[in-house]
Amino acid sequence: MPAAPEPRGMVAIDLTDVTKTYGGVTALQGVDLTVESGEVFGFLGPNGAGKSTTIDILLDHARPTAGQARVLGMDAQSETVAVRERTGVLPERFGPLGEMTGRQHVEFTIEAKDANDDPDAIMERTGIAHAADRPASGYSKGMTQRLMLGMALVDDPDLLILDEPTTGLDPNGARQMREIVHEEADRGATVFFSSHILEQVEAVCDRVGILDQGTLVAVDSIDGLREAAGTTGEMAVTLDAIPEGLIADIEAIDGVSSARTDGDSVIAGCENPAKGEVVRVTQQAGATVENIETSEASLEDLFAAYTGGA
Amino acid sequence: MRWLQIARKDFDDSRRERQLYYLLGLLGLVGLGIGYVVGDNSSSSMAASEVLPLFLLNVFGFIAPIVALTISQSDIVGKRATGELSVLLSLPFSRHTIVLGSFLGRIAVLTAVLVPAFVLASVLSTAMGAPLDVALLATTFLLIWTVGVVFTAIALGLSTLTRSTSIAAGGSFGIFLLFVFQLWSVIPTGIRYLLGGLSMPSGPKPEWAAAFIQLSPFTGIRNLAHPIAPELLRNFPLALGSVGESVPWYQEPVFAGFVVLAWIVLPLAIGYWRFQTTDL
Repeated sequence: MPAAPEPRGMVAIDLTDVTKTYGGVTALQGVDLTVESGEVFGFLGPNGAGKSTTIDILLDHARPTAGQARVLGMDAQSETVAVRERTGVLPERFGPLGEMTGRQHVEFTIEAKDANDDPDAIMERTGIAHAADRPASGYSKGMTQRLMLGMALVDDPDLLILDEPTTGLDPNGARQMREIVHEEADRGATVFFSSHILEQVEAVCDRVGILDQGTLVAVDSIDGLREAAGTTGEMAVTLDAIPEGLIADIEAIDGVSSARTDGDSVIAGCENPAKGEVVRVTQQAGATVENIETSEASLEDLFAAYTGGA
Repeated sequence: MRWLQIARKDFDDSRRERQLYYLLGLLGLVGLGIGYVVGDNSSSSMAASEVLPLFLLNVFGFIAPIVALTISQSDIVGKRATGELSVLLSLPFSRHTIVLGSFLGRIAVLTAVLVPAFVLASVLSTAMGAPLDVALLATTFLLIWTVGVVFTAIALGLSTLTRSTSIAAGGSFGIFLLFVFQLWSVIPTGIRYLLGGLSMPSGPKPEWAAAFIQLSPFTGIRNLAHPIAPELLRNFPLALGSVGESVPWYQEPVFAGFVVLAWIVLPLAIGYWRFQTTDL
């Protein structure tokens, strides 16, 4: 039976073989990506991986060298104004609009989007109501970011594109940001946001795409990501002395991918559930455990896991 | 009507940044100065009604381009540098809307600072007893306003074309030298010097050189308006050459109309084309 054609309205973002080069430098290489309507999609990668370039292409701030981008079923290039009518954006680079106050910024956005939101309610929601009547040119980076997020929320957009939304925010601000993302997702909006911090993406996303040096190395669910992170987690067990044959015993444990010694320490690459067993085996071998350190998989470890480095 | 929102914002930006007030004050003082000088001499040889328009034309013919270049050269490139443009282009505005709205907004600022200066000059000189020719004054205003519009288009085109604020600033100074300082008139001589094997050109000026000189914006505006106000434009030193009894094709008002139009449309079109085809 042939697969039924996907209803167009169900796809929020659709990139087909998108390549972008600047002079001789390749920023994106053949990126294929589909984000379903209603999804919260995290776009993960180190600085310079091409996250912002991808977002620039979605908003027609940059043109792809090759390939096609569609947003909300429309061509990202030729129908960009229609795309932006239904999209709320927190851009990577943002500057205040002249000497407008915070409230004037939100009012300007409401007018541009022909919406009827209450500016004060929006500023209350993003935590800048106290500064509403001050010129935004005097705001701190974090406050400007909150203002821009507020502008993105105007008119309940079908799609929210947030470029590094938590950078520059204090922990409390980052938490509020996550709450807002959850609320918007509950309303039915698609949220596409980029980050170079794994934990922030983990906390809110249904699916994650990992971009490395312009190439989409993985698109996976959070569970898939956790699995990969588990595999590459490390623990270091410091002992009074290392008994004979211990490394082989540890390597034999289910869930341990590697084991080696480093001075008086045994370093095991293993999934989280196997960590207890590693300690138990060590003690059984007759060694005294002096210290245990475990490290979560870093973003770099994840890349290694996905690009076949581990 | 989104361009109207951008135009309104552009004008309000000028007000919020107080640029509008500084210019109003400065140009208002110039207007008062002119009014006073004309009024003070109204009983002497300067009693003719074209004295005030002549004064205004030659002083503001010099000031209007400077004001237009100053307020417009950074209008778009500056927003690009601060990230304001990323924000505007994340809202439902096309790049076309941004350019058109900014152009209209800058023209609104220019108009708002020129009108009071002209009014102050006229009111003060009339109060001091100088005669007032309202029709000629209106023609003068229209001429100066057109000069301002042309230089706004050139500066805004430059501001749209480049991504560098220093190129925009330097370029607009170059424009000032070229047209207000009249380096334009030297270009044909330079070309003839190069074509003649690095020797100073001699003999009568060839037709292409004479025509080229008439392509400068000031000269175009003079040639366009000369039939309407010959007494005013006989002495307009910012325009090159003079208009004789029988005009050659390149001084015909219709031709001059195209020259003026080209100075407005081409800079904006080239700037917009570049803006449209480059990444932010």
